[in-house]
Amino acid sequence: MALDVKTFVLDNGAYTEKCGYSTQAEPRIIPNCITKAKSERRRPFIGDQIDDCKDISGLFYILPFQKGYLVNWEVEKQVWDYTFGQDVFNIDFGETCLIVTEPYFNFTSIQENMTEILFEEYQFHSLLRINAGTLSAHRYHKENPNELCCLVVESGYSFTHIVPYIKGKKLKNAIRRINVGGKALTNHLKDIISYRQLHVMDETYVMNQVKEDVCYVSTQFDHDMSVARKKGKDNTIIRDYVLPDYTVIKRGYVRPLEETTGKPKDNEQIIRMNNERFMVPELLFHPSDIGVQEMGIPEAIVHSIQATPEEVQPHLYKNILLTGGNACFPFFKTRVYSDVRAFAPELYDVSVTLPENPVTFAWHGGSLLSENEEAPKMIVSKKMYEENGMNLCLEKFDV
Amino acid sequence: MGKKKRSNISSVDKQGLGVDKQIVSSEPGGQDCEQDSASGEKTPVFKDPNYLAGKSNGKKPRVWKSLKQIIAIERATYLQNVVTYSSLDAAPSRKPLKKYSDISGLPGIYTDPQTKLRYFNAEEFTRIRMLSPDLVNGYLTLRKANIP
Repeated sequence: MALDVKTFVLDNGAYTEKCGYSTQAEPRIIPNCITKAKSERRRPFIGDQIDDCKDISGLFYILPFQKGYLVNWEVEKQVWDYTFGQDVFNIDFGETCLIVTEPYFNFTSIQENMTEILFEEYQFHSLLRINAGTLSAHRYHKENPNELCCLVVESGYSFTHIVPYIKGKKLKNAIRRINVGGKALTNHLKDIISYRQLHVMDETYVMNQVKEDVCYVSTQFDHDMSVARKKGKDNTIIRDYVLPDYTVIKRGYVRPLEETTGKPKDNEQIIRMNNERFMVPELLFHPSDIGVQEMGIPEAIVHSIQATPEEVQPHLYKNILLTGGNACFPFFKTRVYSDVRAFAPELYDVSVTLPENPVTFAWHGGSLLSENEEAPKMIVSKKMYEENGMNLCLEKFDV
Repeated sequence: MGKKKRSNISSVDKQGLGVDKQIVSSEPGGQDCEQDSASGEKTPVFKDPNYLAGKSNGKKPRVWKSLKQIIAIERATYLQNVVTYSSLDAAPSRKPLKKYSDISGLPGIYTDPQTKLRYFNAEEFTRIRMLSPDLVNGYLTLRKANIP
């Protein structure tokens, strides 16, 4: 290993933390929030302690992130205490290097707070603050050594970033952000179901599961809309989703097409997912559906590439990498490819890559980075921080 | 020493660094040491091996800024170093001031020691010597050089 201390990689997302030592095969995914359940009022659940709770209806979230930026340090410190403490990883701070991810163009005050907390309170041996997309680009380059550039589409909980990486460095003036992420999709789904069928505005956890189980990206939007309008057997899109009641049914599930009748079996609550199945992920492609006056992902990809120097553009079109939770929707890759192909000039080849696990791709990039020979030059050790102060970290970490 | 620090982390209150400075400044100089209970001698706070920098509890907890406050501050501080049409902060120039004649406005190369008026040539000098004192004061006041 290039670094002579153990490395802990923490992909600090707004929804989940992907965390683990760099030697582990897979990271542990812990929700990055404190939740309170109606059934156990006295105990707040930190991170994945929520798995201990039996009845998670009406789950109340306390999120440390606001609009994708870490502002609530009280909550985040509790989650980090839990993650770094005896229950989960039991880290030996003085002997560990931490690689932690931050959003793009993070505020100076937030960067300073994070550095201060990690060095002064947790007292890590050394630190590297980096963008998650840089880790993804690093891993992509390791897997495809011939490709010098890649365009990372990081579609997460709070927003989506389109970032071109040229020879491992991001091009700042070509970065594009779309303020639509998993949170917006879940909220939109709660909104329309509450309007059309059943009041689920308090059930964020359950609706998130519904979204992950049932929603997909439509490749032919108008055709799917007309199919969804049909009745009876002709409508192949509609599904019944059985909601959990935490006594008999512990987790909601989809009923396959053959058994979908629209009538609940005894003592069940169902919601009928018809055009919501593809309308919700459609927000990523048309944010104007909820009034967000921004481009969708394919248009932003083309816009971003057009802001790069001309000689790099064909390389970027050939190496579009989809990461982040929203890339897990079925048919996401096909839809992005067809839309970008429609926008892009004919002489460029377009090629879109979707890793097997888009959520943990950046984390694996982090664990690969810790083995890189360049890694010791990128990190800031506690001694260097104590001698040079905060400015060293602000200048060195290119966030 | 390492173990002691780690065990206090989970119980630490949300203090941060600012409190550290408060302790030093609030105590008067004579009490700037901790009493070593065992030996009874006074050791300075910073020489105590068990001293934990920035880890004192009991004061009010540190307040973190919300996103709106952070955005407002960034907007204000971003424009401080940038020169725009509405802001041009420059230090006063250190070049010697250009002097102009009080009578004509041509470059005032010479100064009359008696009246302290500036003039360009001998003709102006004769004029100056013919002026009454209140006129002289008037010219000086115009230049804001009228020190009584």
